[in-house]
Amino acid sequence: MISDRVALPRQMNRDNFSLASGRYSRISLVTDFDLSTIRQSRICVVGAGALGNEVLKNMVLYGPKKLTVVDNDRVEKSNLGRCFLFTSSDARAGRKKADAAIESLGRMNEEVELEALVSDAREFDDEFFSGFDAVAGCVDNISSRLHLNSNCYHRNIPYVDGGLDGLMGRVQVVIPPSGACYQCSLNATHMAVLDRDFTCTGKEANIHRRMVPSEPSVSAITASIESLEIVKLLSGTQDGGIMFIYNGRKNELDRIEVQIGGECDVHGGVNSENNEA
Amino acid sequence: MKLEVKNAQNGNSTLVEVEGSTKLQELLDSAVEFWAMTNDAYLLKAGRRLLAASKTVEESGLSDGDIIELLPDPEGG
Repeated sequence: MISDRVALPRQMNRDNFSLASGRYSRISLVTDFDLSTIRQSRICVVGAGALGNEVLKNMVLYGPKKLTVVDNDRVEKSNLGRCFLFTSSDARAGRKKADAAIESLGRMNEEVELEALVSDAREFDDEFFSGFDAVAGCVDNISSRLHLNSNCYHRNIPYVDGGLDGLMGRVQVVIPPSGACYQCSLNATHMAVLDRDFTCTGKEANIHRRMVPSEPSVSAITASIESLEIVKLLSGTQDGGIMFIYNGRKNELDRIEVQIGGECDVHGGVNSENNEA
Repeated sequence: MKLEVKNAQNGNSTLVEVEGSTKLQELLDSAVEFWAMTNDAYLLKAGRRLLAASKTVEESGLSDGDIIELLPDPEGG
């Protein structure tokens, strides 16, 4: 019996006190979250690498209605140092990352509908992404980020993008229809990277690329920020047009405002009227 | 006017003389070259604001003595 003098959190009253012993009982005590909305949501995580593994783990623990993984790569031995959803046998068998990931996720929470799509996300159009309440970008190239950003923005689907490089991590929150998007943050250095990655015929160039350093702690921290932003936006408590930069050398986190504009085609291109917004 | 450009990767900083009409992209490219940084994507921020490299120093509301930080934009996943 609960004393009347005990102040109960918003989502925990006498009617749902049985939640106290349930799988989500501790999460339900976080009154900033709208757990019922989170649990009804359909979330797409694109990329099942170091960042994607961590985001998928966090998302499945919230128990959304559906969790979709999109990745067309195979598990390699070099993934095992950062990707805890994969096993040595996955690497030996060369299993597809998306398939191996949902098998592990299914063991973590059998209540979530899991879907593995072994594809390059750039094969999917805006109609595909409109089937989700939020999309998490955990990819390793600017081209895929631009594709996810523009297709999600066009359909008013929130997009949260993450990136890693050694001890640096970045998370950007894009919530259409207002506010800056991923492309708003780009400049000529990004375009030079894109030019380097593609041939003059538009095909991906098969050239040597710098191997991006990656380690598990910064992956986990960056993915946790990305995951937290997803559940906050699903709960309606987060604004778009922001970016977080995590610097593992100093263990510092910067919250940066992103303005509409820059080199952004989504918002009408350079020097458009929208740039003055 | 002079702006202080800080390199977030190594903590170094340098003073750069600029005009109000200087594009921030020029400043960014000069800093990448000055510190011999890799050919990757970078961002510029001033305080809690991401700077649009397509704008000029004046358009960005920067003034003498302001500090700009050069950050790598992590591409990996």
